[in-house]
Parts: sequence; structure tokens; C-alpha cells
Amino acid sequence: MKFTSIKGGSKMKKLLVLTMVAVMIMVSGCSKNGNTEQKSDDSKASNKIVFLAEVPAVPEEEQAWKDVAASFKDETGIEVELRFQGTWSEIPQALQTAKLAGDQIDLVRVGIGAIRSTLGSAKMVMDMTDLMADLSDRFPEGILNSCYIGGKLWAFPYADGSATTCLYNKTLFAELGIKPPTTFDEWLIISKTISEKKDIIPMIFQGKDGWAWPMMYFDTYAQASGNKAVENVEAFLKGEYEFTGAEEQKAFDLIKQIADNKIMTSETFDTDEEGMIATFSQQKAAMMFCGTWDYDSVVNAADFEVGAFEFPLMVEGSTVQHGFGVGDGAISIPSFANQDNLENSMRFVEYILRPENAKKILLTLKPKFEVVKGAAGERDEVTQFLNDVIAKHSVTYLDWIWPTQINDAFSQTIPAVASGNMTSAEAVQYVQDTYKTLLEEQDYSYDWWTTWSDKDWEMVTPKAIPEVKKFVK
Amino acid sequence: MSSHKAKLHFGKKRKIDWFPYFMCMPAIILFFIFVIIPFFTGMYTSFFKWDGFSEMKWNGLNNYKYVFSDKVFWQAMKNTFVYAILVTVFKNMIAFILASLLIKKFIGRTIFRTGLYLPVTLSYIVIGVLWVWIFNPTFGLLNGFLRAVGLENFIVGWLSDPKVALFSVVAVDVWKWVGYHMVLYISGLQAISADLYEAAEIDGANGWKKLLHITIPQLNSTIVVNILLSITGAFVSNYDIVYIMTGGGPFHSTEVSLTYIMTTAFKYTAVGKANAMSILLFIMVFIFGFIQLKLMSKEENYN
Repeated sequence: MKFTSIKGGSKMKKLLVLTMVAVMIMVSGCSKNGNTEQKSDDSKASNKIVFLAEVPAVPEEEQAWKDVAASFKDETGIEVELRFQGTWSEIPQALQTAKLAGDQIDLVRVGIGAIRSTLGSAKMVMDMTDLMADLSDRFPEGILNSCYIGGKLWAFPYADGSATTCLYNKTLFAELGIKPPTTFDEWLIISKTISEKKDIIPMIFQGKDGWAWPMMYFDTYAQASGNKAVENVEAFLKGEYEFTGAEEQKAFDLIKQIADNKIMTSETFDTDEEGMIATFSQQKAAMMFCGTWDYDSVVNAADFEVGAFEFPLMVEGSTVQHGFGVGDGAISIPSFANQDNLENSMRFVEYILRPENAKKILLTLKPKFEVVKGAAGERDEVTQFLNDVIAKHSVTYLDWIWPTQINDAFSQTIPAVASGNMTSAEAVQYVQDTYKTLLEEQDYSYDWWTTWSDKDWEMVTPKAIPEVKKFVK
Repeated sequence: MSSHKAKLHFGKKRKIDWFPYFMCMPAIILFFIFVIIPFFTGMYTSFFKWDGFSEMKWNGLNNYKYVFSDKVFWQAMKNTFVYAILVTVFKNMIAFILASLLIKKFIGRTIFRTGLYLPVTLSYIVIGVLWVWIFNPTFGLLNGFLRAVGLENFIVGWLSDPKVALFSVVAVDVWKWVGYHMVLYISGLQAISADLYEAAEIDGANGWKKLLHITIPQLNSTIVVNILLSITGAFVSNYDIVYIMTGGGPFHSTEVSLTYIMTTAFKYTAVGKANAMSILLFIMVFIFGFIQLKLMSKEENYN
């Protein structure tokens, strides 16, 4: 269509079209993201605090937060804006975006691993050591430990804890007259029995999900290192220890041993988390190595009795230890938060740590572990086992200590070794080379807090510590 | 008409019609804001060491040096080119064959055309999740079918074997888009005059000769468009499917440039290095696309 053809008496048409375009632009510019509310003014001591977190996994949790926020406002007159957006892994970027936009964010929920690897060194979160001093008794003993980095507390846990464990089909085991294994030899015998008598996979794992493989390495390296996994990793990240030794290689070889002996079959390498739960729940596999966060899905899907056992002992003279963490959903205060609003923020922290409120929010997650006093979930035989045995034989998740690049190196090399595509010697060298690249390209420093000047500390230290005790009821 | 010509004559005063420019302005502004500015910002950032949180530190050409020495990046580039070539070849070959079959009239033709086009309407996320389940070793339709027909020996780790995984992802991409290219080929085939085939038959040409001397030359412009769309799509639209199906594994065997750039920028927080990778990718795709366009768009190809 030639524009000349709409000349001559078509000025009205042009005007109508232009008006339509302008209206469309205005309408699209006014559209809202479903989960965010209006930006708040960044003022001094506002009567409002903004809490940034990922979209809750279950609708009940979101409702619980809203109810607690409403009752907090009734008690204190302080409004809480709950800004739920994106996924857990997107929160660091969301925090950065908020900082660049000058948004008010007073509290943020983020993994302690992200604080250790990125947010802490970038001075994005505040030192909460003194802020939480009067509230540390709201947590069971030892729970706050995973949130300490460099002797300072950077967040407090406010979600379920988690650990690695092995689930098994208790009904099937009873039918076959076998018991859960405690050693590798027992594990091998049981697996052969299961394969021969039932022709199903002995143990399934979500091998297609690269991120999950380090979970198995936590358990094997704990044993291979003589239960010095954390110390070795810390020394490695400080440049004081090479990760190419016999112990490190052995941890890879132990996983290969599990695969070579068909305890874990080739199906594992093509199965993701959902496939793993389906395979186990539909009794196509008798055992499952997983995180405790998968337990509820399994129980809901399985029509047999589910039991749990510890990862078997594979190294004589060692002790079984499992990856464990309380801090995936830790709450922290951004360093750029309005410090005049700190008292309001800490009042809300005190409020949500009261047992009755912690119960309201945390029980929606059906927690396996008691993270805040008074907010313990219902215990069955498996969750009791997780608390009595697994949690007590635990070591901090190594991927909360080493940076993402190192974790990815493990994610790639462990299945490569297990499937015979790489040797353990090549794998440990790959990890060591990744560390060297990290040092050169990103100025990586494990103990970044030791390199800070007074000015750096000033950026993350609260100017005044509110008296939280006076708000306790 | 003469007054219209007079108005268009160079050197004479003519009234500019601003309306079309106003209509194009929003698109131009958006293009500038969301493409041009980020491109140059990315180019600028590629000379800095930046984690996206802290202050940017000048790094000169070091990011490019890191990229050149990054084995994973070059593996990702190699995978990207292999992916682009395979996807282009198979999409076009299969689409052409299907178009040749479905241009003939028969009962149910519309159903077949619709069915083949249906995957085009699904998002990469849906398709990725669907095919992860099809490839599932325990419940998957593929292994189930192979077992049922006694071809168990052909079962491999479709997404876990480094030698196979990339081809599995390529197959899914081809499956998704073959319907789209088929439609383009159908329209191209329909535009070929039947007289040419009649004349060829009179001259005693067989099917093969008709294909070589009539169909393909007449379809040249359609082939150029299809190849261009396939290649550019393969270079810049493979992130979703690779991310969903394999995440770049096993052991970077399905890593493509886009997944590695995203991982470097947002997971490893090496934004400067990721931007350097993006610039290099842009240069390579630009050169590749330019050569391809020049070779395939020669004037004589349209005779």
C-alpha cells in the first residue's frame, strides 16, 4: 500500500493510528510484574520494610508469610512488603538489580553458598554478628554454624535443612529378606540379590543432573580423606593444598566402583531428578541416593514403605559422613539497606523467629530438621532417622565452600569418571586447573574477608545495633 | 500523476511525508535501546574485569586472551558449528522430501501437513521436557520401542553418552522445525510452472533430471531463505533446548556458545569475559553469514 494512497482526506486516519500506537505504548509501560509491588521510596526510617525472596515453592508458604506480615503490622504498625520474584538462584541478580535501581530492600533470602562465593566478597550483605547476638537462642545448638564465614555471621537460616541420604524400598527388602547395607561389600551383595531376583535397578541416582554428582563426592571424599574433607578443601582454596593427591583421586574411584559393580547402572546417567523419583516410586529401582528434599515426593508417589540408610562405609578405618546444610534459604540484610530502617528490620526478624510464627511459615515446608526452635515438623521413622543419625554424622556441603566454577568442574568430571570416559587422575587435574584459572581470571580469594580494609568493613557493618530484646514478647 | 512526478523530481522543493517515519520510530527506538546500546555496552564491558556486583576494573585485552585459551569455549564453538551444519542439512533435506510428498493431492494431506507443523508451535521448553522423557532409559518411548521390536542393541545413552548426546539434541531441533521449512518448500514448489515439467517430459526427461534441472534451480530462492533461516536459528536459538535437555553436558559435549556465555556471565559472574565471548561469536557468525549470503545469492542463481 502506498502512503500516497491514504493522503487526501486521511488525516483523521493517521491521527487515529497515532493515538492507538500511543495508547498501546502507555498500556504496555504500565503493565505490572505479577509478583512485585510498587517501588517504595528510599526514605529514612520508613514505616515499611521490603523483604526480597524467591517465589515460594508451595502456595501455603506464601500465604503463611502474608499472614505473619499482617499480624506483624497489627502489632507494630510496620508494613512488610513481600517481594517474591524469580527462583532461588536468581536472587543474587535480583539483589544487584535492586541496588542499581535504588530500590529499598531491607531483608533478602539467599543461599549461604551464594554469600560465601559471591555476595559476601562483593560486600552486598551486612555483618549480622552483633545484630543477631540477642536472638541466637532462638536456634537449636549448632544450627547457626553454617552461616558463619570468617568468624562473622552473615545470615540466619530460615528454611529446612537438608542432607544426602539413601532411601530404599523397605517392603521389597522385607520380601527378599535383606537388610540395608552398612558396608560396600554388603551393598554389593544386596544389589546382586535385587538384580537377580527382581530384575530391577539396584540403585538409581539423578545422574543426568550434573549439579547432583558432587553430592555423592561429598560422601566418598569424606571417607577417602579420613574425614578431613572440609579442612582439605579449605586449604585447597587458599592455595595451600593441591587437589591432585591420592585421597582426591580415590574419592572419584569409589564412585566409579559403585558404577562398575552395577550397584548404580547405566540408567542413572540418563535419569534426571523427576525420572529418579518416578523410577524408585514405581519400583523399577530398589534404592535411591538423593537429597532429603526428595523425600516428600517419594512418599507421596510410592505405594510401599520407604526406609532410609546411611551411605555405606567404603574405606576401612574411616567414618561415614554425609553432606549436610542448613542455610539454603538463609535471610540476610543487604549492605545497601537503609540503616535508619534497621530497627524495623530486626523487629521483623525477632517476630518471625518467635516459635508460633516460625511454625506458621516453616511447617508449610514439612521440614525434616528443626532449624528454628519450636518449628519442628512431624517426625516419621525416616525423618527421625535423618535427625538422629544423618545429621549427627554430617559435614558441611562442600559446594557451599568451593566456588561455582569448582563445583561445575566436579559436576562434569564425576560422571565422566564413573562412566569410564575419564580417569580419576585426569579429573583431579581438571579441578586443579579450574582453580588456577579462577585465580588468574577472576582474582579469586577464598578468605576474602582477610583482605578487607577498614573502609571495606565499614560498608558491611551496621552503624548502630538495635536493642531487639525490648521487642521480645 | 504529472503533479506527483513533479513533486518527486530532485532539486525541487517537496513535501516530506513524516507519517511513515513516525510509524517506524517506536520499533527503531526499541531496537536502539534493546539491541544497539547493549551491544556497544557489552563491547565496552569486555575490556573490564567485572563480576556484575563490584566495581569494574580495567583489564585491557586480557578477557580476549582468556577466551582464546579457554578450551571449553572452543569446544562450545565447535559444537555450535557442528550443530548449525547438521541442523541445516537435515532440516532442509527432510523438509524438501516431505514437501515433495505433501504437495500431491491425496486424502488426509491436510492432517499430515498440520501434524508436521504442530511441533513448530510448541516452545523449546515444552519440547525439551517432552524429549527428555522420550529419551528416559526406564520409561522413555524410544527405548521402549526399540525393546519391543527387538533392537535393544541400539539402545545407547541418548543424553549421557558424550558421542551421542549432541546428535540427540540436533534430532530434536530438526523435529521441531522441519514442518516450518516444509511449508516454505511447499509454497516454493507450488510456484513452479507445470509447463516446465510438461516440456521436460516431452523431451524425455526422467524424474531425477526434472529434479536437477527444473525443481532445484526454480527453488533456489526458497532454498537460500531456508538455509539462511536454519543457520542463523541454529547459531542464536539453541540455548533453550540445550539448557533443558542436557545443560551442556555430559562433559561439555553438548555445550554451545550461548549456554557457555550465559554460564560464564551469570553463574561464574565473569561478565567481562562473557562479553568478550559474545563479541567473538558475533564476529564469527557475521563472517559466516556474509560468506553464505554472498555465495548463495548470486544473480545467476535466479535465472
